[in-house]
Parts: sequence; structure tokens; C-alpha cells
Amino acid sequence: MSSTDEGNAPSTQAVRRTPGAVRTPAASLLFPSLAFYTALLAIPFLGLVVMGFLTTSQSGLFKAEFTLSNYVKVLLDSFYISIIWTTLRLSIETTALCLLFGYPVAFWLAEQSPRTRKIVILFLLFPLLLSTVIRIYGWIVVLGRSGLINQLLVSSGFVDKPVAFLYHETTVLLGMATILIPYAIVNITNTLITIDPALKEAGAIHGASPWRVFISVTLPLSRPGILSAMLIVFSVSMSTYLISLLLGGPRVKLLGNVVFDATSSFNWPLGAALAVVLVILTMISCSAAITVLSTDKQRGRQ
Amino acid sequence: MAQVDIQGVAKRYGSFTAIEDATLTVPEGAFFSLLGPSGSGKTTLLRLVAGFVHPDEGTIRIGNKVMNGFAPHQREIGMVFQNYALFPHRTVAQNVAFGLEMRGIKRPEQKRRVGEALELVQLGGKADSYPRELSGGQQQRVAIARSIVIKPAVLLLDEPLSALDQNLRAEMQVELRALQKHLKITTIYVTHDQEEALALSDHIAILNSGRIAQLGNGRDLYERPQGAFVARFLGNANLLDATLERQGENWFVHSESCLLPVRHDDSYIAGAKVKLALRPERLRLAQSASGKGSAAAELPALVVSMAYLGHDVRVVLRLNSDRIINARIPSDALDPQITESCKLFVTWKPEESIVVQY
Repeated sequence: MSSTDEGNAPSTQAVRRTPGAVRTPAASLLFPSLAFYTALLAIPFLGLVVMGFLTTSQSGLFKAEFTLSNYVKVLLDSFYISIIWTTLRLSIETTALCLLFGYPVAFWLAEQSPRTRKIVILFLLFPLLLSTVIRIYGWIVVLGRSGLINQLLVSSGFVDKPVAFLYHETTVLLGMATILIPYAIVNITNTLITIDPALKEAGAIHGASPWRVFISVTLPLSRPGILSAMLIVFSVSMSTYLISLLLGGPRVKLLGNVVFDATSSFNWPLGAALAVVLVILTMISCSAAITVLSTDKQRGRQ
Repeated sequence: MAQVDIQGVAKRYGSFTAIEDATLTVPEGAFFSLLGPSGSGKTTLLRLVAGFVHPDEGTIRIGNKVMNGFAPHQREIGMVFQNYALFPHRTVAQNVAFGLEMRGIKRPEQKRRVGEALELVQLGGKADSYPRELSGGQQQRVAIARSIVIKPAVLLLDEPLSALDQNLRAEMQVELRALQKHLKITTIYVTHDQEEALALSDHIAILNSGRIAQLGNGRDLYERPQGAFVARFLGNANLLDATLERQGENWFVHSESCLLPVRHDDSYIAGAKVKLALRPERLRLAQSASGKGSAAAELPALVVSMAYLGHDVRVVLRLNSDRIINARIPSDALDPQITESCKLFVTWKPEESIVVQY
């Protein structure tokens, strides 16, 4: 990826200036964070990968015997395949919903005065200060069997008995989208406000109607914001655990939930294999999105 | 190509008046400059023509069509922005093709016209580059190509050369003027640089605090400024308080306790309070008085400082009233005996003295 190349550019210059010196001052500055991530992320993740190859034990957490059965099970068992598929589908749907409803809000926000924008973003981020559990319980209060909507429906005579809103995929989707949409809005807004207004004027004066200015100028230039919104919303969606647990119950299980089920039933190797598959799936999806949407392709072209 | 007519246009933002009672005509094919200091309303006037802002009063016509109520994209205008405003996600060719695309011109013709426009601005080889790979001057040319490729009725330029360094600027001025003459395109040019306006324009409107201070060609504005603002803004004239006096057929001004001859003008009223505008480059220095008394246009002065500027020397002088004035004397015409704190006489040709109202 050329963004990595760009990141290295200053350090290669430093090398040229001081040949033979300690590799680069810039690289050495990276050391603390690199050490941190190696110790607390890379090594544990490697442990996870290895754990996935160990054998399930009836008496302990695992048996130190090599086996492929965990990964084979995760990738071939129809139960796990359907869960992987549901997780992927729900994450894609959540991302699509967040972009679809978040972009217009971001577009509106970007046109506001900095003051209004600050206040609205503060309100948007305010729910993030609350625990996700509390926000999900909010949805349960609204959608539950004796919740707000059901009380209204029953008392107004629309339905005879309460509608089971909870424990449906759509409900989980609704929960995920509403909780994650602020990330999409903030990311897209931040890109939209960096677009020089003169570019839109240049589009308009040379013959583009407001709609075509949006299609030909604003939308392509907001691509970095769309991309970062997608990556954040999608990655967080993929590892959803609480939302699907509380709104999906036993009916809607996502990868995060089965990882929990496996580990809490002391089947660590299976849980590890599931977690590794989850991480790899997320990585593949994100890098696919980056390849398709990144503007770096153009930058690299001379 | 079309004439632009601006009739009694006003634009206010709350209590702030951006432009008031602007009336001017840009003849078909003319190069017209809006010149003024920042905040004078010149950019607002340009944006009114573009349609980015709409007038509170008055009408704007392009050709014979009233433009009020039309959005920018309906006006057949090409525009070059101060910082070029090139689309960073499009190549040079795609930038230039933008207006053609929006007009639904077919691909092969788009390609042909983009090629022609790029040749015209001497950027034929850069079609596939991205704007960020070009120098400022090259980006400028792309912006010009993008605005002329659509064969607009009017070309608007908003301080297009202000971001370039001085040498490149002079070069671009020459090219821009040649291009404009070649295409015979009606052009409105906003600038705060008086020299640029003089070098490029057929007509200039000088703006001050939202009003048109004076309209005319460069020579008119320079030789016959109407008002102290124009005299000072165009060419930094020294302004002296003066009173008009008539002696027989001859007119004088009483200024700096001297009687100074001025050229005759029918609008003069004896006893009127006016300003005498003296162009720094029209002043000369003399070691002694000419002895012609009140027939001579001369004032005693003291040299405060001198600065060598190459072609000429800027001499700062103090008059008897402590008023400071500037003179620019050609280096080769300066008497070497004249140095700082010399007492001397500053003189000029009476027919070159300019009398302006307050």
C-alpha cells in the first residue's frame, strides 16, 4: 500500500543524510508503541492462532496435542458457517445503513457553522459516554413484549397480543446501526469540511447543477471519509457481542457470541479458532474495501 | 461572447453593505478590471455576476438576458479562481473536460476540444497528470483551459495571478492578455494590483467601500482621477490641502502658503476647498528656486531620506508645513549633490498638477 511508503519517506531521507548511523531517529520513535502492540496484541494473537491448533480437553482448558479439527469445524460445520455468514451479512448491512443515513446528516452538518457543528457532534457523541448495555436496554424498553410500542399497538387495537420484536435479526441490525451511526457521521463530516468550497463553485460555474456537483465533486472527494467510516463501523460490527446477546437472544447468534459460548464452556481451542477466523475475515474485508476505495491508487500514478 | 450589463446592483449582509449602486457595462470582447483594496466589494461584484450571490437590488444582464434568479450553472460562464480550484481527483484532461461533460458533449468532441484548449495554454504534454503534480503556474494554465474550453459568454478571473511569484506573474499577464485578445472573450478581472490592472485592461472600475469610485481606461484614471481616493490608490499621489483661486484667466491653488499654477478646468469654482494631487514620479528636485514667483509650480522642501530602487530613487521630502511627500526621481536624473537633509525645491509642470475633490 502506498500509504505505508509515504509513512517511510521521511525516514529514508534521514538515512540518506546520516549514512551508517543508528537506523533512523524516526523509526526509533516508533519503538515504544511497537513494543506495546507486540507485547499486548501481536504475541497474544499468535497465542490464539496456536491455541486453535490444540486439542479440546474434557478435564482442562485444552490438551497440548496438535489438531486441525477446530479450524476444520469452524470452516466446514454448517452451524458455524451460517453464523459466519450472518455476522458478515449483518455487518455489511449495518455499514450500509450507517452510510446511507449517516451521509446526509454529515452533509448537512458540514454546511453548518463551526459552532452549530460542534454542538451537534457533541450530542451525537453523548450516547457514547453511556454504556452500550444501557443503550441496548433502551431499545428493549421500547421494543420489548410489554414495551412502549407494544403497549401503544395493543391499546390502540392494532394488534390483539404483543408483537415479538425482540430476538430478530432486523432488531439486532437496528440496534447495531443506531449505536454505530455516530462514528459514520463524524468521520464523513470531518472529510466533507476539508473540501474547499471553491471546488463546488468551480463545478457549478462550469455547468454542474447542484446534484451533479454532488456526484462529480463532493462525493468523490469525500471518499476517504466514507472509507474510514466503513472500516470503523464494519470492524466494530464484526465483533458485536452485547447487542446481539441482548437484542438477538438465543435466536440471533454472531461470531462474538459463539466465541463467548465456546470459552465459557471451557472449549478454548474452538473459541480461539473462531476468534482467529473472525479477525482474519475482518482483515480481508477491510483490505478489500481499502483496495477498492482508496485514493492512493491515483496518488501513486505519475 | 456577450456584453455584461450591471444596473444599480446592491448587495448587503445585515448592516454591512458589500456593494451599493453598482452600474457598469463591459463591452463585448473587452477586458474589464475591477480594481480596489480588500473589502472594496470587487469580489462581491464578480460573485454577483457568477451567480454565487444574488443582488438585493438591480439587474445583471449577460448578452441581453437578465441573469437575476439564474443559478451559476445556467449562466454560460467560465471562471478562474484565486487558488485555481482544480479538482484534485481528476487528471488535467478530466479537469478541462468538466464543463464539456456537464453539457453532454460527446466523447470524441470532448477529447478534441480539451486537446485544443491544452495546446492553447501550452500544456499539451500534461493531459494525464494530476493537478498536485504540476507547478503553480501550470495549475493556473489548467484552470484557464478549463474555463475557456466551454466557450463561455463571459470569463471571470478572481485575482488569478496573486499566488504566483513576480516574474511568473508578469509572464502570465502577457499570455493572459494575448489569449483573451485571440479568443475575443468578454473578461472581468478582479485584482488589487494597480499595475496588473493597468497592464491588462481595456477598462477599469476602481471600487472603494462597496461603491464604484471611478470608471474609465487606465490613462483616464491615472491622468484625471476624480477624487482623492482614486488619485492615491492609483499611483500613490501625494495629496495636499488646497484652495482654488482665479486670477484673470489663470487658475491657481493656494497650498502650503504658496500660490501654485494649475491647468484649467471648467468645473473649478473659486474658493473651493480641494486637494492638489502630485504624482511622485512627476516631481523633480531643484537646488534653487526658479525665480518665476507664482508662475512656477514649486515648493521649498527638506530631504528627509533617500532610497535607491534601481531605476529610480525614492526621495522622502518634508514641506514647510511638516507635511511629508514622496518623489521618485530617475536615478540618472538625480543631482549627486542632493543628499539627506538638503534644502531644495520640489517642482513639477503646472499642466501635470491634478486637482481633485475631497
